[in-house]
Amino acid sequence: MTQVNRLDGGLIDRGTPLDFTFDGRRYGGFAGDTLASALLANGVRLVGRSFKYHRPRGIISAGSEEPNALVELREGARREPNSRATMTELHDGLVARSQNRFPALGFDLMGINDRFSAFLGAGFYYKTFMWPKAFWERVYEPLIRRAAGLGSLSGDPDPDVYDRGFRHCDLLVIGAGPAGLMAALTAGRAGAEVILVDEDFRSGGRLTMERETVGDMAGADWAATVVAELASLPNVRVMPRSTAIGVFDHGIYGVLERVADHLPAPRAGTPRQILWRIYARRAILAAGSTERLIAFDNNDRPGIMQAGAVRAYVNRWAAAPAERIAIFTNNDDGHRTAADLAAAGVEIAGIIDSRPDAPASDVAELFAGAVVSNSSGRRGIGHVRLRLADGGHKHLSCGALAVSGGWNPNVHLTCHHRGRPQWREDIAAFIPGDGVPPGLAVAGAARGILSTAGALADGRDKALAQLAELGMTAKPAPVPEADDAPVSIAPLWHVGGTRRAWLDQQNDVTVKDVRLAHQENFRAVEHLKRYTTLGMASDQGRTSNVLGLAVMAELTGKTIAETGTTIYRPPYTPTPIAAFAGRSVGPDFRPTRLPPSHHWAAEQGAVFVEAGSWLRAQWFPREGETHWRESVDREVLATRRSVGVCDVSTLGKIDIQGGDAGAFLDLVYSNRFSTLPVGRTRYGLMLREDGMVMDDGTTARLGETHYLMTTTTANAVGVYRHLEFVRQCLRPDMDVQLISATDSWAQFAVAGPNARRVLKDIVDPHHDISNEAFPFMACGEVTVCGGTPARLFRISFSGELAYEIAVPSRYGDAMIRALMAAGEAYDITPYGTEALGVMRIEKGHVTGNELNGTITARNLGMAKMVSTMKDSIGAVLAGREALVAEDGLCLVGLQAVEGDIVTAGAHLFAAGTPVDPAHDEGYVTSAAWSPHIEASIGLGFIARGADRHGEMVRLMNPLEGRSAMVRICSPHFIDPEGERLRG
Amino acid sequence: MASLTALTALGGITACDQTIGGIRITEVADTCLASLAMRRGRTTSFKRAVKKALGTDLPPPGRRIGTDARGMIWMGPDQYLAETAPGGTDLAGELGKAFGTTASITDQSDAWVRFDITGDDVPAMLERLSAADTRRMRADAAVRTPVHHMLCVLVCRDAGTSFTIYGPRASARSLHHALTAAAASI
Repeated sequence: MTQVNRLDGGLIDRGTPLDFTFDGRRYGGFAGDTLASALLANGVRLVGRSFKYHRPRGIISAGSEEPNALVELREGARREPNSRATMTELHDGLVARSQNRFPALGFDLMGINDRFSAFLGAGFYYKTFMWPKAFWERVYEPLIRRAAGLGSLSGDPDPDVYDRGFRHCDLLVIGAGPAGLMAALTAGRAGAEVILVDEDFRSGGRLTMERETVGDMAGADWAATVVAELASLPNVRVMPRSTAIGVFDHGIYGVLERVADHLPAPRAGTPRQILWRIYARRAILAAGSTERLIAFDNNDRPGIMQAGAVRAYVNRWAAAPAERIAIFTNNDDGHRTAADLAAAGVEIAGIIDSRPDAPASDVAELFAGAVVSNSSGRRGIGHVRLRLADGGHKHLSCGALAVSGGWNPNVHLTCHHRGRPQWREDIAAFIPGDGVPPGLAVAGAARGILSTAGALADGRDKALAQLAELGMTAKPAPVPEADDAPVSIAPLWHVGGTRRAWLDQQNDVTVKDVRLAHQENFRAVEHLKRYTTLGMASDQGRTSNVLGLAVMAELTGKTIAETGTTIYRPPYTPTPIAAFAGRSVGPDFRPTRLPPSHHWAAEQGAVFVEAGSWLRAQWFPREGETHWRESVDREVLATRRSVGVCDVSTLGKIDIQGGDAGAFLDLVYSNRFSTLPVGRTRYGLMLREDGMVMDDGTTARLGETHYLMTTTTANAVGVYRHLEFVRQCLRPDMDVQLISATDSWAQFAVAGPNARRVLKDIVDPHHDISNEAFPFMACGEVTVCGGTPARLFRISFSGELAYEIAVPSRYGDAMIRALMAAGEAYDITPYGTEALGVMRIEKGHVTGNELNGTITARNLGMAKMVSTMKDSIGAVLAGREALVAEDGLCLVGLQAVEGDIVTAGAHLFAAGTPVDPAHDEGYVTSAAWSPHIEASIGLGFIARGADRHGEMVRLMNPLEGRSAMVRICSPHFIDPEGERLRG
Repeated sequence: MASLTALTALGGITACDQTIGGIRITEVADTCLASLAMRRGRTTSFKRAVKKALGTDLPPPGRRIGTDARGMIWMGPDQYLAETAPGGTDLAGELGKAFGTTASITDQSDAWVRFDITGDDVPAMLERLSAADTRRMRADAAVRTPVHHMLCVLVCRDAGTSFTIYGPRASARSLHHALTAAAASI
């Protein structure tokens, strides 16, 4: 396919031809092309269908503001919808498709919407799809989604990786146009750490798109020279293909770097995109400006473009949008386009300048004081209709219309801290106003300095000022000579007509829609925006907002300044969610903590479960076991019969030291610890300030001023944070020091009647661990396996004779193997968290299920553990009237009868009472099958539970549609006297 | 009963040593670590003990102070992490004797996994992981920094080319994965 509209010159590499397809047709382009420039070079004007009316649309711009040329890129899992053709760097083999059309771009059946446009104006959805209500989700929504919209996702997981990163600098320069380059050069030469970001793949901004000189060089060459110098400076980082998407607090900027979007696929292991968080001491916004269109009837036809974009395609990409181009302008910039088109040999149909005093043109016929009132053409512009200064009409034939309505400074980032732009009458545009984020200065066109010479000088001056604030001195670089034409503009927002004149082409908002909003009293800009969806598309209205509010200003009779603007928010351009997620996806969503016996457990074929961030063995299936409960029942019975072992390293361990460690524990625990003898362990209950139970666990006294606290696995971090808060904020006078010891120790519970026998083979013989020397709740430092230091605790969660033996984590793997070897003679059985849970329910021990944040010590039957002899956190509020009521909830055991099962989460009702909230008496917190008593059992809370042992109550689980009769009993299903664990 | 064999945090008998591109990531399994927290009101004697035991003054925030063999890293107000060069033994016990009741000392050798990262591209790799300004870190700069939600301690050994990262031992595998992925992504 020949590139029919390709001109001579341009900044493309004709030595590197590239092939690509659009909607299945093959085309050619060159390195340096964008998809948009290559399509134009190939004479393709129609590239998409509009969001709502399915109108044919073409390329409007040459930058990230593009509202129309949204395409699907690539194939398979890498398919990416809504990509701007203007920002898509061409690569060999690129596959692009148009979107939002059926069945084809040229023949779109949904184009019927356009015929019904009279019924589809602003607010149409709200007024039309009201009834019947049942249709909302089932009929209307799918219908609307089908008819209106953008591209579609592949539905496959994204095969690429995305990174997040952090960079620091003295000065961040956003935009590598004339102002940005001068700023970066000034700061770079002064030795400051500089980061220069630009969304384009070629630095220079408008300098790459204009036919002008800077100093004695072509603008693009000057830019290339500066970039080369910057690249040679070790203190400067130039980041092309990088968009600053937002300004956050404390000088933090979000920058999306498209590392590999211009390649068929990223290099293995490397990211497609990186979302950088840049910490900048100072920043300069040199984001340039965006050209506005002028609204007139049917101004959305393919071929109607920004005049500056037409110039850009001709100058930079040597691609003429058409063979014959008309120009419609309200300012001098249109004439610049005319001059460039003439220089490139493109035929100019005429210059329609709305200013009666328009400057003469020596390159084309000038229609001063005239406007374009309509366009015609099928799938692209063929003619424009002029309304001449004398009131007459004229038709001009043209394949493209270059429109210049003036330039809007890109103030968006200055508004990210709710700054409000100010209206500047002389350039008819908003410039940055109050509320620019601290540390951010604005330079060049972004603040309304619309000449190259002005931008160069302003970039330099802003850099000098920013460096001075940092206490850095810099030599002012000489500003090269450049174009310095003043702005001459006579505002024209829309040409009155009878048809639809588009303002927001991406969301299909017309002048009529703004009129309707005005008529229906949605006149404030924020209301206008939401009622009409003006500026709510993914381009955030960069080509449409000012037009829309100018129209509203006309209607209300207010000035544009009074009308104001809506708020711009991050991100500046659409940013993939994948970039925000970075590497935190799939199994790497968060880090995993592995207990020290993990590798051994994996060898045993253990089934693992996530417990917080830990991966714990849930059970250890044996050959022939087909159901998890077979394994769990076996583990429980074997432990109770002989001995079992379980990795309990995941429990939080907090090392507490200091002269006031005992007093500190007396404060944070409801019961007393200062009296605990050295070498002993005590169960402790920790309350929140409001008197509810926060956590429980055992704390061992290892020395006079040294305790070791154990927390539940899930609460380890929360408890540590709470202790630090108490230490640092409530009692900074106490001599107490904390440090987490969770990861330091590999700790194993050895439980069952034979536990001591197994440990005798492990603990070095000079330590006496007999019942007399090392009774229940004893603790101490021992050595194991010939001298390895260890800690031994005689505590029991299972209710059996049990110990917990801890060794430094590095020995954890060896320890579990040693325990298994020592226990072989007793048929030792490793057990997982399921068996652990079953045994603690059988024993009536509470965990997080019971300690759900609404439970008091009294509810647990542990009221006596809240000492009244001392002050402790939560003790006072635990005594509130409602919390000490006699008929409060009480922890009970529950046992199902006749094959019924107890289910956690179910609620409890007295037999014969209605099942409604008024008669709800309590709920089930934990449930398990007890192989010991061969019944489904559970723990729960029920009103007056302590007095109701033996009573049958109804268990209701409406979520699962279950009900059962259960008997209230003691929560201690086994060994209520505690003889086993003391044996 | 046979004596117990130690495994590294990554679960190996020997430490993991990997080179990806220009970056070498080495697991260091035999560093001794101990936390030192000053007892309340014992500033003078604590400082004296530090001088005697480690030959240094107290490090200010963001710093490590010491020799190649011994060092102290600031971890929080009146709280420090003492480290030895690889191959150290029973640091906590030794410090316990030296500091007496002026400090609370807890062995942390098994609480952390240590990775040494060397190579010219290390700052480019670390900037994908940590918000710390690693390009400007000089030797003995030390910061606590989260890496993929894991709270780590990053110590600069040689500006621009050599760093140590301490991370929670139980998360060693996740941290190692994060490091290798970052090294491969530059």
